[in-house]
Amino acid sequence: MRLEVSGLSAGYGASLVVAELDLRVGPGEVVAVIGRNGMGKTTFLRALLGLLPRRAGRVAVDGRDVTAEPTHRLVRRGIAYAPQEAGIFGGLTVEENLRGGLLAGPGGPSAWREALDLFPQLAGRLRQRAGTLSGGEQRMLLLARALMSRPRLLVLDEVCDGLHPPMVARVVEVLREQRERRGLSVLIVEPNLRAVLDLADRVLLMKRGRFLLERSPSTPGAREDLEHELVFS
Amino acid sequence: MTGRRADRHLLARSTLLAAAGVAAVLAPLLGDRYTVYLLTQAFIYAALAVSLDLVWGYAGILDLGHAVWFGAGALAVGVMTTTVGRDGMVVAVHGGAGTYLVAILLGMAAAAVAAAVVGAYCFSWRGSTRFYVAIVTLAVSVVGEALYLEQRWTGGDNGLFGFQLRQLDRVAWYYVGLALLGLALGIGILLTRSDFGLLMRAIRDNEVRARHLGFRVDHLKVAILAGGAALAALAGGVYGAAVGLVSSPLFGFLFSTQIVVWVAIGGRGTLLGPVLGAIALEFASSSLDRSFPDQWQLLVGLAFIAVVVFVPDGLLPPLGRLLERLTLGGEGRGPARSLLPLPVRGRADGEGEVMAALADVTFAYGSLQVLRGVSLEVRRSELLCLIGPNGAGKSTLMALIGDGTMRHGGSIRFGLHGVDTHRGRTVDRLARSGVIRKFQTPSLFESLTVAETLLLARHRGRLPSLWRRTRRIEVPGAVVELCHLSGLDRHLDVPAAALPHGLQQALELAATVAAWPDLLLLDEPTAGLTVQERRVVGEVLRRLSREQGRTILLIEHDLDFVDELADRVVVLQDGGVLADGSTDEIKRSERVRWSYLGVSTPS
Repeated sequence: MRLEVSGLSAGYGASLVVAELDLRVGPGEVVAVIGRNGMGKTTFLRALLGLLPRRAGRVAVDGRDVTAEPTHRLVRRGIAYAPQEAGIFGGLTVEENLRGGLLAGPGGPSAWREALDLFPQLAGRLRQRAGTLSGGEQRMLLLARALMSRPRLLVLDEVCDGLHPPMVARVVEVLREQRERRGLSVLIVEPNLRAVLDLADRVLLMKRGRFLLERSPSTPGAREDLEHELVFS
Repeated sequence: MTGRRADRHLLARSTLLAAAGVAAVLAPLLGDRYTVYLLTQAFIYAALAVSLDLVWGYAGILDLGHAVWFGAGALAVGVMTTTVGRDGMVVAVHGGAGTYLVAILLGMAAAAVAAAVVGAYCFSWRGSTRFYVAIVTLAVSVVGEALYLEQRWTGGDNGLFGFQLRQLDRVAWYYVGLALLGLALGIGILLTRSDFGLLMRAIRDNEVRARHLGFRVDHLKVAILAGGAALAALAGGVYGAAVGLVSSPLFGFLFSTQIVVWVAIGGRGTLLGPVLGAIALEFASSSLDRSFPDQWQLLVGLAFIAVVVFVPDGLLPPLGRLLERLTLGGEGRGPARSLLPLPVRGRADGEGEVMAALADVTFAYGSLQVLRGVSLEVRRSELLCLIGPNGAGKSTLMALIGDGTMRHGGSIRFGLHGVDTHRGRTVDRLARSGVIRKFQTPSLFESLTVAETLLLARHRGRLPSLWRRTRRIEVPGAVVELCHLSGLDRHLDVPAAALPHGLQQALELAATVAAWPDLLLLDEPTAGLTVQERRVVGEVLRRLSREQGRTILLIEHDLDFVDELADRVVVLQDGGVLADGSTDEIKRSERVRWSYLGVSTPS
């Protein structure tokens, strides 16, 4: 999926949290937005997905203007979102949660199998109420459900938060594979550079609601530039 | 806002209130007899609305039977000043001012006791939701009205009448009504602006967190409901003495609903809103009742629905904002609170003693076995990291340590003063004894600001002052540091709900430290922070344990971070202890490398 965002502004009440943001995510591209807390990362995602009213800006998917479309229409276009918290239905079972993901897209049995292969821990607990899963397992469920819909763009808000290291490595592996095989595009928001360094094609640093710096991790010195800005600016 | 603007705001508000006060005092000289009578009744109802606003608007207890307490006050006066004949009709009226006073006091006591019994029943049941009390109080109101009709001593169908205190004329009653309203508002303002007012809102916002900070939430809710009932009964007593009539509808569900409507339309949690709501609706109803007797109730109903749908906060808050924008600009909050570091305390005695000892602890959620025999010791002044795969039981173990009422196998013992045993001790009891848990995801009081949250945390279950409003909050130096490092100190007057996720995490950690527990249970305290921020937070935690004698049990995934921080590491897997030792030992352990780090061969 090709996502183009231009001039996006949004905020709460009287305050403008993000202002005039431009961002492009190409097909099969992984773009990461990093920045410290309170800089507007989550607000940006919520405005992008129409979960928060936009003050200004244009959003286009594959060249088509979708600015006026509500969130559920965007989801049907193939965007899956894994929010930072409160993303699962605690009263439903693990299986019911996953079926919800299946409904949202063209996933089918193969997506079901793949997601459960990725998280075998969930496979053994399909009947359990999702609210009784541990924090880390709930993150897994969120990811599995997002993948279930076979999205063309995956939007992740601090997705590896609370996952233990081998699991983080698995997730990175799967995202890479999906990108190569199906051209999945990914937009990640993260406080830490390290978490996205292995995955992202481009990293944007957000500071007080604006993109301050853009680097590709593969270019020399990119990491140092980003780290420096993250800490000192 | 600037000090001058705050002053101007205060001046404008005082002028408005003074004008309203003067108008209220002069009204009887200008209005006709009927208006004076209506105003008297409206003031009494407004005082009643204030009592419900305290209970519902501030403490979040939806009392749908509030009329019963009001009725009890009126009934007490009626019963003590009348004699009822065999046919249930009033045959004689007696008693002087003293009798009325005693009757009102007895009515208040009776209402408070009855409300306390209802509250104790509603709040002590573990599975009760916030709707439970609404349903029970609704039932109390319905049953109350039905019972009233059955009794002879209440006058049954006819009610009791003709007993008003005749020494006072209409104008005098008007001033009594005004004084009652002034008293209710005074109590309300004092209470809600005090530190205790914060606790009321905290309980409304997040009972679980309040318990985890040591507050006896159930007792407090019973006390708040009983207090509200007593105030309602006072209004009822004055009503009885002024009007000289008490009958079953005063207890009824319809009247209860009416009080709720006054509060909701005016704006719950604003005190002034319910007062204006009660007075306006009472006036409107008496004038419209005569012109549109049938449609009037329908109109009120529609207005109520419109308010709930379009201005859920009630009419006062938007009105107030409009006024502010027109005249003053800016928000009219009181002066900001600030943090003051407490002097650093020395090390606690008894370093190295056992702080918590777990022996063969087992736990299951239904058929799902989460912990299968965990034994470990946490020593005083130690920083112990708990690591392990997702679903290993780390958070469950932490929850068990902080809550003695969860049914589990094995034993947990503390080396704390006065809490050697664990089983059966509630979360708030353990919190008061010095064991406090920070949850994995932020759990805060949404309407309380950063400073207010820290102030409540400082109390750790002690009853905050009912009238004092603390402006300079003394907190341990580590809290000042955490606030500075995270940037919370720039948001001291921001409500928790408006903070970004990361700052909410930081606030929950700061509040846990502010409570100054001996044993801190921290579930992923640095999630969502950057690596640099993590490092500084880690540094603060380490000093807390090494220099200031706090014991910390901490769940963490980042092994590099654990390496810098921990005195000792326990690896949990599949509900059992896989390894227990120094970070070096853990890193070298073949089993840990294989199962946790996902490394299959030694490098």
